[in-house]
Amino acid sequence: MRASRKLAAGLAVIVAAITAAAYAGIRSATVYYLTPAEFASRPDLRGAHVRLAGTVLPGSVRTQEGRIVGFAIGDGTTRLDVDYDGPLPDLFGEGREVLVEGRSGGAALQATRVITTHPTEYQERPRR
Amino acid sequence: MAELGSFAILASLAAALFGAVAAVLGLRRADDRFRVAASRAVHAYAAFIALAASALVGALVTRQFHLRFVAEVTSADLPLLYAVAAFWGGHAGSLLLWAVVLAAYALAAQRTVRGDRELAPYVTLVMLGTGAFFSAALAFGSSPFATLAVPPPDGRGLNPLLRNPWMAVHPPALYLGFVGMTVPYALAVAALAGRVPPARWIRAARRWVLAAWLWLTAGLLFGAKWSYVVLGWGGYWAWDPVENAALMPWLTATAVLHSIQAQERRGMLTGWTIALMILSFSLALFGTFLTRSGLLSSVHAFANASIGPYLLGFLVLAMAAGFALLLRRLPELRRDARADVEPDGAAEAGQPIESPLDSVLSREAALLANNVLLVVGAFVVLAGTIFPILAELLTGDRVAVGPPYFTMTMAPVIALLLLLMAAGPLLPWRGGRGDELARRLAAPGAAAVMAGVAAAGAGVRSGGLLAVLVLCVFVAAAVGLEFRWGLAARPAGRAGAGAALLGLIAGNRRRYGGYIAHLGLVLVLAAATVSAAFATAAQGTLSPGQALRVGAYDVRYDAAQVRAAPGLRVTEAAVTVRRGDAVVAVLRPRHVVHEGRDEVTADVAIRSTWRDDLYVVLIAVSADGRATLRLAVNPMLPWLWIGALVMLAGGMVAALPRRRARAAGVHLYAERPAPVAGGDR
Repeated sequence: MRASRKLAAGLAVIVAAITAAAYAGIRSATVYYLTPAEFASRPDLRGAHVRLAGTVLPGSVRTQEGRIVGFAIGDGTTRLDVDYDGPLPDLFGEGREVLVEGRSGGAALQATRVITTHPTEYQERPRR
Repeated sequence: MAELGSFAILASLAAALFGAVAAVLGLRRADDRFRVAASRAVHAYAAFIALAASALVGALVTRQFHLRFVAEVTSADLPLLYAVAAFWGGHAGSLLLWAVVLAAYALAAQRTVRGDRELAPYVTLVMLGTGAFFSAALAFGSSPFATLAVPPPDGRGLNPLLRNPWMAVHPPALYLGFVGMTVPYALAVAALAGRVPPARWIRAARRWVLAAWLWLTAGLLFGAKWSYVVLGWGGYWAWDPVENAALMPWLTATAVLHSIQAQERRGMLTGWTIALMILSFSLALFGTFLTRSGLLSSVHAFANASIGPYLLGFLVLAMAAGFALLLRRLPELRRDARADVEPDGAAEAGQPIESPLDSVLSREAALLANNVLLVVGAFVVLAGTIFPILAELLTGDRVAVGPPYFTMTMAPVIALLLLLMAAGPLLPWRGGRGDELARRLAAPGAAAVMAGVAAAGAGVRSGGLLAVLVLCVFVAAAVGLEFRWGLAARPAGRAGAGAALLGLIAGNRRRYGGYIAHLGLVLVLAAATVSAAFATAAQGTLSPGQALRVGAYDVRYDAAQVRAAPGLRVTEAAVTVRRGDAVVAVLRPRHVVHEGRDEVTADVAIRSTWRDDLYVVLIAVSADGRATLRLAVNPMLPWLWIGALVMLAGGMVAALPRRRARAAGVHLYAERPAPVAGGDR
């Protein structure tokens, strides 16, 4: 039985370590997921890492020497400016739904990542 | 078609319920008529499900837009093949696909247990009980045959993102994997309920788990490929809940395939193996639940979706029934398993009923550790997947768990699994000596260290990346050593090296099939890590004749043309790819506007070589003819697909029946007198 005790102890240590890593990871990798209107009503989330879902507002895309450097997203009631000059998804465009991740600093959201909504594979996206 | 389909689903529900009741009655009364009735009910159930499926295919192909499902997923201009694939392009059709696969498995499972008076009724009960649940969900929750009062002139058409060959095959493969977990679950429950010792059913269960594992692997591969070539973000795996839903049962099924070896060889881990089968089925149901309940878009969508709560209830019932039975039978199970491997009666003679673990340095200890890690991995993924749901329920805040969580926590799990993958196969059953293991691992270790030094010399600085590469080489070298020893132990013959290798694999398919699968996984992990670490990307808006550099490639934009197809506006750009001075390819990435649906998709152009992928996305072409292109070079990525295929090949080798045993079986049947109906075994 000594061998099984040793193995159990070793595995327990490993499982505990991975659980601790998972706990720490879930705390640090969790972002709030909001619409622009919800974000506007939550002043406590200024400066927090957030993910916002909204539509790219027509005419809001700002360019500099042909590169997109920013745009605004909205959800029908609230407009939020986004500063961003990283890679854009190929489905990006005015009127498209996007997810924007970043932190708000001042008036605009400093985005670190812009992605299109991943379709729930075989399910229709809800129509608006 | 609508009436026929609805009728077939109701009839399948009736057949399933009838068969389940007959199976139960057959258990209570020793009357063969109930057994025959239950068996016929399985055929009737399968026939009605097939009828419902044919009705839906017919409705899809003939575009009967008065069916809501048909109107949602097809349109008049949809090509025939995608009209058929639209079967699983929506919610209700996917559920029917589940039922179709289940019906096929119910028929096959019945053949597996034919003539076994104890197993057969319970297997029928579980298969038809599950079938009845899904038929009820189809009939009363989410029917593909629901009609519209006012049929639209044309359908909405299949979601453009799903119009892709990979997406046509991904859902069926995935469902064959998910639903395949029903059979081992049914066998396990039947064995527990009927007090059947493991020796009589565990081999059959292993084959079923392996089949389901193969389909899940294929489904994951197809899904990743689809994500890579269609979504156009350059990746293939995003730790999306939908993806995680398929990964979790894959991890636990992989654990079963390993623990079952300890069960068969040493009579150990029997209860644990059964628990993993129950868990795999539960996770497959959970995956269906997660993708089909609307829970992912929001907790509130879940409350509105009619089928979600039922699925959750069924999942809880299946899990509770399985685990309650297992707990009740655990003491006898240990005794039986022990008696199987030691038929001298040691178990009855009052010997300890638990199989002792002789040494930490034994094959069974390595298998147990592998199992714990795989299950921890599944729970880590589960935690990250359901955390947003729980958080929304508890706090009302919607949150998302990002990929860093998964990579951070899965990295140590994968690293430890790789270590075990190298050392485990070298350890003997019951236990070996530490210095012996060290001696055997010396050569692979040296190869791994050299690979690490070479990678560091080539400029790899990230510790995590170096660790993965070193571990991958370690495993590959250890597996190579296993093959070399196997070949050396064979009698020298006239056959060439290739024939000797084939002979070696054929001689012990399970063992070498497993090693081949290990090599495939190593390729997948190495490719995933290297491509993520060394990917380069560039984006720019170019006038015709201008070029953009990415990695070692110069990509020149030549021209664009717009073509119109029914319902589509396709913009195609031609780009010339140079590597150094040589023109290596002309690629044609496309940008497709689906006019009816006001959606845009990209047809990514990919040039694959053994070294890397050049990935070209056409984002837009402006009115003055300038094209916005996004380019990426993903080194080693083609090896990811190759690795997955190698894994599948390894799994298939391990799944092949032994030729000798099969021949002997035929011989046996030929000589045996005609079987008496329901003959005892």
